[in-house]
Amino acid sequence: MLGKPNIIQWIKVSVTLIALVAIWELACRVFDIAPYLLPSPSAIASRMIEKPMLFWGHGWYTLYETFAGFILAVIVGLIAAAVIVVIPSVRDVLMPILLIAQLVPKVAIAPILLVWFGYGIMPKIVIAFLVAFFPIVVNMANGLVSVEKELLDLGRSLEASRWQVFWKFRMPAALPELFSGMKIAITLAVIGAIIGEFVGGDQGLGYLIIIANQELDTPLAFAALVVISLGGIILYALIEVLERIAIPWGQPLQQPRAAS
Amino acid sequence: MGAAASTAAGSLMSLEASISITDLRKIYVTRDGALTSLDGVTFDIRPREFVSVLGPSGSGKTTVLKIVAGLEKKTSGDVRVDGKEVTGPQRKIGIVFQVPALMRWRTALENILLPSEILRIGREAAREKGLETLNLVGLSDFANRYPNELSGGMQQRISIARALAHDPSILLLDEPFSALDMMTRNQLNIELLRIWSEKKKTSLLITHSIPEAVFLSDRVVVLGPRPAKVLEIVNIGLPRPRTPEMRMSKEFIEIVDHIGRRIGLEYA
Repeated sequence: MLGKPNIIQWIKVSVTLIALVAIWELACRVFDIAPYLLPSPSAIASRMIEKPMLFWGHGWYTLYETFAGFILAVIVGLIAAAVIVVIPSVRDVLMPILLIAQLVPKVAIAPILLVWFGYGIMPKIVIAFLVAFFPIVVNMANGLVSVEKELLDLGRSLEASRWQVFWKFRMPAALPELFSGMKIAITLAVIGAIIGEFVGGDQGLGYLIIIANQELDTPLAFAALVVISLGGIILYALIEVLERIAIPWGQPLQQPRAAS
Repeated sequence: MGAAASTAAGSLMSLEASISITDLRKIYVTRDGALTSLDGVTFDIRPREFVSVLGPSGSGKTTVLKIVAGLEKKTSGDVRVDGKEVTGPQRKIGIVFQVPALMRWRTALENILLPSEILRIGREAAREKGLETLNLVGLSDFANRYPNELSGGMQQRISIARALAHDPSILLLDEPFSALDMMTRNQLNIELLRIWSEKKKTSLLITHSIPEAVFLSDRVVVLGPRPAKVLEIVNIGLPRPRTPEMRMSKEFIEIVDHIGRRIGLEYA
């Protein structure tokens, strides 16, 4: 997203962040803010150090839901996008439906999914899948049709088969769009999993936040939030790394297209 | 005309490709009614001849190429390649487009190898041919570069190499240099002249540059404004092999001037 990582920029960002955390810490001490209102960074950190296994266990659970939902979204999204692009009659029907479905707040479906799938891991994966699915389909479909007209003419002039056109012309052309869709999707999948845990269940970092809130253990809630954020950043970074490997020919898209 | 000659000997067909266009019409149906783009265009290209179709922007000259390539349907008339009616795209035709249309995910060499992959030509033979073609367009040193690392002129040369790599008998060039600056354009004209002299493919160039058409062609088909008709077919008497210096000769300037007046009169 930022092009080549710039060392100086990194330093600037890090210094700013550290400064903000220091001001926060200082403010909590100077104004003697009650921990249940706003815990100091040190209080949050000590919570994390006190019970590492707690975060580890719940973290894995949430990560698992996120990842399962995300992978499912990529697989189903890729297939849906391919069908939409390759079969025009399907596109005309499916595209408007998808756009309408995209407007349905998936979060509001969460309680219903609980009724259908119970309190286990399943409804969380389904919600993560639902929210991650749309950016993948929309971006991938856009990517698959982004092939230059002249390039498609070249394919026709060589009498390339549909299959060849798809794999040699459309798929590679779509990769940058696919990755920008995946970057949006992974952050949404985290949100989906957490929402699922909010609604019902007994595991995961979202569940941990709910429990912490009920006990007015705000430092614990903040600690869970930090872990969630770190997890999200790591997943996002992983996709960026994958992108650089998969697209060696140059710049990825400048900005992930907002699809949701 | 070339029809009889080329269908007679099957083995010679690929070597002696010809194009004949008779009374070609193209009418587009638009919301505002029918729009006649080509109104009875007739000319032919003999085997190994270099013919340019010259016309102002929007004169429908690109449509002629697309119909010959089998990428667009004609409304009426007769279009033949090697004496056979054109019904769709065919592999004996190589095309260079207005834009390089390179795959940005493939290196220069990989782009050139694309046609052979689609035609399922053996990897080794294709690679050898690809390197040879890359050499022909003078870009051997850039085989492993991606398109975004190459200049516009280089990209268009790769595109020419790609059109030639599967050894088609006909080369169609659709305003290939119109997006380039003047200096690059002149340089690529000289390059194309050299490539054509080596390969002697039956060639059809679409252009709106009079000097470019005169410099490269055996004959120039001058199209009028929409709906396009053939105003004149000009024989370019300049001897071959041609040299860049010829563009300064009296003869060259006279032909350019003549065509310029011919087109100018039509618009006056």
